[in-house]
Amino acid sequence: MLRVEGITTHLTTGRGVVRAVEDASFELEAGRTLALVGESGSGKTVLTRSIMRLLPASSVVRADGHVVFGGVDLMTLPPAQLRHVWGDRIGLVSQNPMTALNPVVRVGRQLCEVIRKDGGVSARAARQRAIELLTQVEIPEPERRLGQYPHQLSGGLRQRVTIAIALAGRPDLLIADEPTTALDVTVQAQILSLLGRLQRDHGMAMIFVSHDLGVVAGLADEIAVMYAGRIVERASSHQLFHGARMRYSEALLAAAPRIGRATSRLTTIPGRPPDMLSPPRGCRFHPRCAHATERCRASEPELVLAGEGHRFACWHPAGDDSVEGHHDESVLDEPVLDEPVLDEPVLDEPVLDEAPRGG
Amino acid sequence: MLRLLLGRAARLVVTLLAVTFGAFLLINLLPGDPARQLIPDQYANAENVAQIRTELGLDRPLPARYADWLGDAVQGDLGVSYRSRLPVAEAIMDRLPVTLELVVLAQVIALGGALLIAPLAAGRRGAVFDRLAMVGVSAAVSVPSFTLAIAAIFVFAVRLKWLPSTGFVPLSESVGDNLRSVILPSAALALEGMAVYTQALRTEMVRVLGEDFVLLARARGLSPRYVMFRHVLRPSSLPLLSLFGIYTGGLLGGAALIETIFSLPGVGRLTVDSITNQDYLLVQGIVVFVTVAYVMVNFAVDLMYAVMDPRIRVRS
Amino acid sequence: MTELLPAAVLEEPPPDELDGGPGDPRGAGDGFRPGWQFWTAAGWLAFLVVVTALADVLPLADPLRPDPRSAAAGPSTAHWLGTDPLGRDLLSRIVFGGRVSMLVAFFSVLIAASIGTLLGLVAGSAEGRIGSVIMGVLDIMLAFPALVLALALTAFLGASARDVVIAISFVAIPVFGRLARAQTLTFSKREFVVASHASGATATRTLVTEIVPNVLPPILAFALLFAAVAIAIEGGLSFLGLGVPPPDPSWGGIIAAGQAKLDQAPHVSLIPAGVMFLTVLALHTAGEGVRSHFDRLAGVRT
Repeated sequence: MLRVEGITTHLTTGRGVVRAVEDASFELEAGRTLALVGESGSGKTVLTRSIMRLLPASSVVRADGHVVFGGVDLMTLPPAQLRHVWGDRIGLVSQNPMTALNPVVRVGRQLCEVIRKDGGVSARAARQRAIELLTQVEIPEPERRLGQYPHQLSGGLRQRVTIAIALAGRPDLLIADEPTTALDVTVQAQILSLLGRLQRDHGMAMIFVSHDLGVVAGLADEIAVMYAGRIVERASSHQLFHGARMRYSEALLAAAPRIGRATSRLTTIPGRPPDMLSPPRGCRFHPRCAHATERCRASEPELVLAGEGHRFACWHPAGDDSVEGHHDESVLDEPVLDEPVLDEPVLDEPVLDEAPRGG
Repeated sequence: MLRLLLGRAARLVVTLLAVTFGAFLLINLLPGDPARQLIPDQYANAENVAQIRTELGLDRPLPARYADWLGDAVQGDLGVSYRSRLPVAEAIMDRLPVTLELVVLAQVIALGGALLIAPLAAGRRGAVFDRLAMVGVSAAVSVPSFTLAIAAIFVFAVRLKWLPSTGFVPLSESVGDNLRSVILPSAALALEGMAVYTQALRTEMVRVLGEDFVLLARARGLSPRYVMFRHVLRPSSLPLLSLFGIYTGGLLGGAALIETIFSLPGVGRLTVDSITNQDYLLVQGIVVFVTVAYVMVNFAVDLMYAVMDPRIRVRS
Repeated sequence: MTELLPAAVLEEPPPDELDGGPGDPRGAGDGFRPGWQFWTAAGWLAFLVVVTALADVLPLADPLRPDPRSAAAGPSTAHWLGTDPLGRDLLSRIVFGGRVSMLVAFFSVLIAASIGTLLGLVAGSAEGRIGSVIMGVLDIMLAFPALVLALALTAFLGASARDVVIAISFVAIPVFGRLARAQTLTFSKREFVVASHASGATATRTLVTEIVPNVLPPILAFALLFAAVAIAIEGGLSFLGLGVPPPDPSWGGIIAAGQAKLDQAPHVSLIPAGVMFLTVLALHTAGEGVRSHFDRLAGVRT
């Protein structure tokens, strides 16, 4: 249903040109969820905006690639037609519910204007539909909420409203860009399950962007790991959690804190995300990788096939010889978010800059 | 909400009292004997001066005088000028319509111009139109209104002969002629306001355009025009409100100059004439009237703010 | 200019987003690198100051002496800019009138800035009632429309350069006061001030050594901006005959005299009007340039 090929986006900032996304490709079937995972700055959001062609023209230096959605390449559409894609065929839920809504316009109006944007819907019918949508996202007392302003709602409710707005056009694809990052942990879980349910009920495809593997564990059918603007591994959820190959993915898995398990130390990934103005040569992860060799410094690995639908880009992937068990099978068995975090102090361990074990 | 209103109203009353008291004190600035100053020299014999002194209660303590005066003023009696023999309040009211028309028209022109230019500039930020507009605005802010008026008269009245250079035709006589007689003065008054409004509006619009919800509104498929007007222009207009109140004060002052230049029979001209004629009671009355009006306008602006920005309402 | 004076103080300075503004220091790391507008403005002002200061020494005609043969005449070899309706040399009247304007503006700004800043500093740093009382009084002064108040003051004080200075200063003091107080409050919360307190310095000492040097630059920038307003107000008052009394020359006075002759001798009004406009513009430009410079130094986004 959605085929993304070779998206390359270069943006201009005050200090130079940033190669935010390089040659990203993936496919997505209807009803399936793809998780786009990576650290901040990895290009995840730029990728989603590139797919939707939402980037401000003045910042874009280069925007190549194809986004074939329902048979049509979005990159070739004129702006007027794009407007019909937005909202009606693709819905967007973004990270910060505080800033996603206009603070001086009532919630009901923001919902209804989307419902009525193409004309032909009476005010009364729009209101009905608005209430229907608010009910779908499990907002109690929807009629009352219509007349309220965004600041009168809690963060979780605001996010539900933005989801309702995204659903208003009955889109085939929902892009959720870190929808839970700005919310409390308990609310996070609710929103996640809501999204899962809505997706199933409406048969939508979903792209879920996050920096947290744990969050997407229960939700994603496929996962694409991004680093420094490139998709470095693409696999089904099962394949990734049980057999991540690219060293960065492996490190991400190792770094995810797990509750209910006594760990003496937390592992982190040493170093910092690369400067996107001048990313490292060769494999972009090599400065932080414990397995890097001269080859990694010299040339950038291509995506190779590891199994059915499993691609990765690494010169020295995990799983050939060094089977150390850090990609714990138990990751999927452990509930990451079901228990309240407060019981188990996860972070009182000294967080050391320690390389992942093994290698 | 009610508490907000009461608090503001209380502040309003205090301000009004203080301001009127301040204006009342102006008389005391006069060198020498105020009673003596208030009448034309030819009548300034001891007898008349003494009579004035008792009439105005100039020998009584200040607070008592003020209380008396305030009591009269609230009922609309601002005294009678000894020079012109006219009741002050009446003199002001007679000329008020002219000034009102001028001020209202100036605000309309200023706001209209800003609402036209600013969205175009903000939407094409950095482009030719934006740069030109900003340069123009910077220059316009610096032009003293009376200088502009003289130049405008020269161009439009003397050279082009499109418009009259002086004189006022009341609305009741002829709408067309009336407009012709006020358009130049209003425009001269309006330029500075238009410049400031445009600057403020554009700045705010550029800021709002950078906000998340604007991008996301577009991502929902709403047309750019709709987003611009509904989601950008309306919230950006809020700062204009307080500027509107302040600018009204400026207009009331500028009217003195403009009405003099164009020979319009308004309150501004009355102010200048009364100063030239040393008709101090009249000057004082005008100052009180104009200032009270200004305070009320700003009070209304304050209230409007609360109405228009829901965040303020809830916060209070 | 006159009209929206308080607005300049009550609003936040707009972020200097669009480059190419007056005195644009964009592109510079640190250091004062304003654009050509600033230097042109500064040049004009310097020129004006020099010429008016040296007016007595320069070979100018007597500004008070009427030449009955050439009343309201255009530019000629005898009178470079022509004459006013009474036959007095326009150039010298403009120069001497300029001196009056500059002096009035200078002293008004000086007085208002000094008193206003002092009041603002006190209001911003003093504990308890004093601050509120001061601000209350200043707020009441601000409740009057500026020009109306200035007019009223000249009415009751009299018409002379000195009275104009008093009137303009009076109107301006609360504006400077508010600005100074706002700046004082802002800086009092900054770390280096708190550190100074913590090291045992008295409140006054902290005020003088830490706060004042930071409050002065914005005041300076605003003083330039206000000088532009002062020139405009003085011009307006003189125009109405409420400023410098005739026969002494003033820009506003010359413009007023020329208004009747706009059809036959437009230069009488238009030349001084142009000079005044340029001066106000130059002061405004210079003020904006200084302000953006200090905004940048203070870390306000440009």
